[in-house]
Amino acid sequence: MKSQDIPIIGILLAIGAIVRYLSLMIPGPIVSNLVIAFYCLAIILVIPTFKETLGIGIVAGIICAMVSHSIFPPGNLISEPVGALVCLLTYLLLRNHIAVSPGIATFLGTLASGTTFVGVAMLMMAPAIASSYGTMAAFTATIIPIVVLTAGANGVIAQILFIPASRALQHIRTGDSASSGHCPRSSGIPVDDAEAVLMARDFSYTYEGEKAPTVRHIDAALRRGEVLLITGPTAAGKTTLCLAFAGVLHHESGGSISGEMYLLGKDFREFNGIGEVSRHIGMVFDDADAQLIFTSVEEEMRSGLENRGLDPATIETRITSVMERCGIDDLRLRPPHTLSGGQKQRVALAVTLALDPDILILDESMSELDGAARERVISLLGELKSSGKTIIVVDHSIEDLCTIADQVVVMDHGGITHRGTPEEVRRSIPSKKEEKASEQLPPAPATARAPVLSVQDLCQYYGSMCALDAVSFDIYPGEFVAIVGENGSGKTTLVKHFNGLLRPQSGSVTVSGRNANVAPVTDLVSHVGLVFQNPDTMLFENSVADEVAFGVMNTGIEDTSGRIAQALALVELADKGAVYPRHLSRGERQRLAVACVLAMQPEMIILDEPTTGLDDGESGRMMLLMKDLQQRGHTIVMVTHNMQIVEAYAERIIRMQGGRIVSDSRVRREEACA
Amino acid sequence: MSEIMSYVSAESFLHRMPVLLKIAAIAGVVVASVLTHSVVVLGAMVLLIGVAACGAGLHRDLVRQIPLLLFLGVVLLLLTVLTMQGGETLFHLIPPGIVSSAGAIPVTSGAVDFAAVLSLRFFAMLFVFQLLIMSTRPTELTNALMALRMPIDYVLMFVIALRFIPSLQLEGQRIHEAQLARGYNPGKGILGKIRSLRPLLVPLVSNSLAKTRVLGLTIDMRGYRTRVR
Repeated sequence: MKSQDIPIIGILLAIGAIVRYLSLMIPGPIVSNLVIAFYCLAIILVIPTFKETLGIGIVAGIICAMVSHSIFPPGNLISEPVGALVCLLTYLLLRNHIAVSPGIATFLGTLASGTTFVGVAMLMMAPAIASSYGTMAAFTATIIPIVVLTAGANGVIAQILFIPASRALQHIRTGDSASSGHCPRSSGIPVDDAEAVLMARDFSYTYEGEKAPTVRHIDAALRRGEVLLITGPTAAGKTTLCLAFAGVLHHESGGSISGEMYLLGKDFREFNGIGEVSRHIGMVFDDADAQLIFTSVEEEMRSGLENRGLDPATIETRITSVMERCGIDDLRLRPPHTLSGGQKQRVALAVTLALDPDILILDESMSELDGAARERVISLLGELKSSGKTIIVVDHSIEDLCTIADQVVVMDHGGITHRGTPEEVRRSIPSKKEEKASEQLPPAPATARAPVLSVQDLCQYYGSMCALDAVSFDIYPGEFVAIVGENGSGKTTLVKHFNGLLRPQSGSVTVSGRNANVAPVTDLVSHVGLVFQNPDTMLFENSVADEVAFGVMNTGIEDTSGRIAQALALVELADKGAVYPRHLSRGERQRLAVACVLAMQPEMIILDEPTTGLDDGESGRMMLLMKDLQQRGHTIVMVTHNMQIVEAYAERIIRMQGGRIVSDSRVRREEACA
Repeated sequence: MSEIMSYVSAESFLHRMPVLLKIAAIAGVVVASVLTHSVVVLGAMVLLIGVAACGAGLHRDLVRQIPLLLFLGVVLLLLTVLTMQGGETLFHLIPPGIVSSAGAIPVTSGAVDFAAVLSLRFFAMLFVFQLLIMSTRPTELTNALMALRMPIDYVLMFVIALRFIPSLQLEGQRIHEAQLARGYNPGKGILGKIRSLRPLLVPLVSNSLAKTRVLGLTIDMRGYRTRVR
């Protein structure tokens, strides 16, 4: 089993447990066990050995016993391994012959698990009264139809999920691949530096199945105590370069390498696997959530140190001191799902720091930190640097990092386009500062017109916490409004009331003359289009056009093709109608999400953090699209904490704090900037 | 939210009891309840488990299971009455004079006894498992699995499943809201219901599988699989 297979199975079991739990809402003594569909899917995706399959079955059995109110929990410990084995066997026999082999394997796996479960339950009953065969037969006869039904449902679920799941796994193996483009071969760098702890010489890497290299001709040398900043647009190859520096490409990925790379003067290939490399190098990834394996922050830190064989006293002092330095000592017992994005990033950093590596690589791992936290981490990096640590930081914005940096490298199309000291690089790149919006001030809102949205004394509580406190305002047709405020100020909670996802506890919300307190969500969504922060939370279809069609068909409109074409043209995806949505770039997916609500032709479009995860170029494009839609008569409401785009584009700024509106101003960009 | 994993945070004697001891106790209850045919012994066991639950303050969660168990008991009773006779006839399900003069479908003491044994047996096993799950922190269970020499790969699998259940539930809610914002409404009938899982499950599965590469690398970089135990 590869290391990646372990989380694949674990995560699918978690999803199975959730789906299983939801199905418990349907009352009945024996509820269908949907966990089976998910461990079968995992087995089909991973194709483990028979011995491993048994192990997976046992873990699945424990999970089933824990989450399902099974009539006979120990039965699962026997029935799930049997089901897992049958699924694997069937799939191995059929996979090259039938397209629906995942469905069939899951169907038979479920059948095997179900009958085994019944059989084991029978065995437990048998010693009671010898003459009870009739009862057993009747018991079996009652359960078997349920088992067959469950098997059918599981088969369909596994078949439906198989293709998107294998696509998702396929995609992450090549996900970072850079678009091909001209890239000058870098030269003139003193790469034969005897003192370098980390060194690359004409290094290129091509992912398996890709034609063009994702990083090419990289020369770099980093001495002890130096800090290297890497920046550049999305898909420039930054993450791949980080993976190279962490030894992952040499030891875990299957692609092809040319050129050399050395750690402490020794070729990466000479190290004994990623385990040995990571005694010297610690890497913090951009997705902090995926670096948290355990159910509490403390265990997360402890487990890594225990693996290194440290004694308990050392572990304890190290945990305490690192948590303090990272400012997370109050999070010690918290489970990861209760942490904010920024907190997760600090925990992921702390876990890596606790291992005390000589070289630290941070790959966009500060993206969700607020100003104060970011400052704290940067000053911590400064301290680490002066204690002799070598650090590589990848970040979109490098301004505040320049104080600690020795070298800056700018990447594009997989190669290095600029390099030097922070000052040299700053001089050689034209300032990225966007031109201030030079459009004329919009006319004062036509207050004579009826508002498209009217909010009166809106209150919302989560338990005893007041999320919205007597919020009142109107939005008029054609306005471009930004709702700004810190995390937790109530922005997202507020906009969820506009299309009925949340209903006011008191107060009222009126949308285009409809009472949004009571109007059905399906009605409201054709007037208010809400685009969520991350487009991936909604993409599920096989093509871009189908994705757009989903919403249109839900509103019961006949002319779907016309609307789809129109919406895709507006977001400049007209030529991508047949593409698998998740293969689009991040910026394209964001625009697709807009097209999905646009096709439903709502008067008002709300965007929650529309520029998160986008680089400057893509953000600009997104905002121009919003301006365009405004000119076409839509009302635009944007929830964001990115003051740069607010300053440049919004015509009215509503600022929230602690569930209240603290200011509501029109085109006073100077104030918003402060 | 937290209901999937039934752990109840509290300080009771059951919470403090070593996990391995609890597992041994479960094994004891399972074996004992299978071996005995006595309604009295089984009843006493269920009662004892109930008392332990009260002592640990976990009785409320067990009480919630009772409607389900009663339903199960009734089904079992019906099954046994319909399929077996033994001992003296207590009464007839269809009173005399309707179908036949003697009455039809006799309810015998043997059938009632057997149904009681089966029901109590399930009660005992279900309760005792529930108590283990409710009184044991998932991490303690993980440690117990390690102590029982489960290979690290499977322990990690288990831990990752536990850790991601609440996170993915939150993610599931976000996905549900995002689809509602596109006018999503669940289909009707069994096939419709299964089909309407697609807009919810496909993003959930795709997004969470996209995390597995970093998770796998994290496992390698922290040296879990190469650890000397």
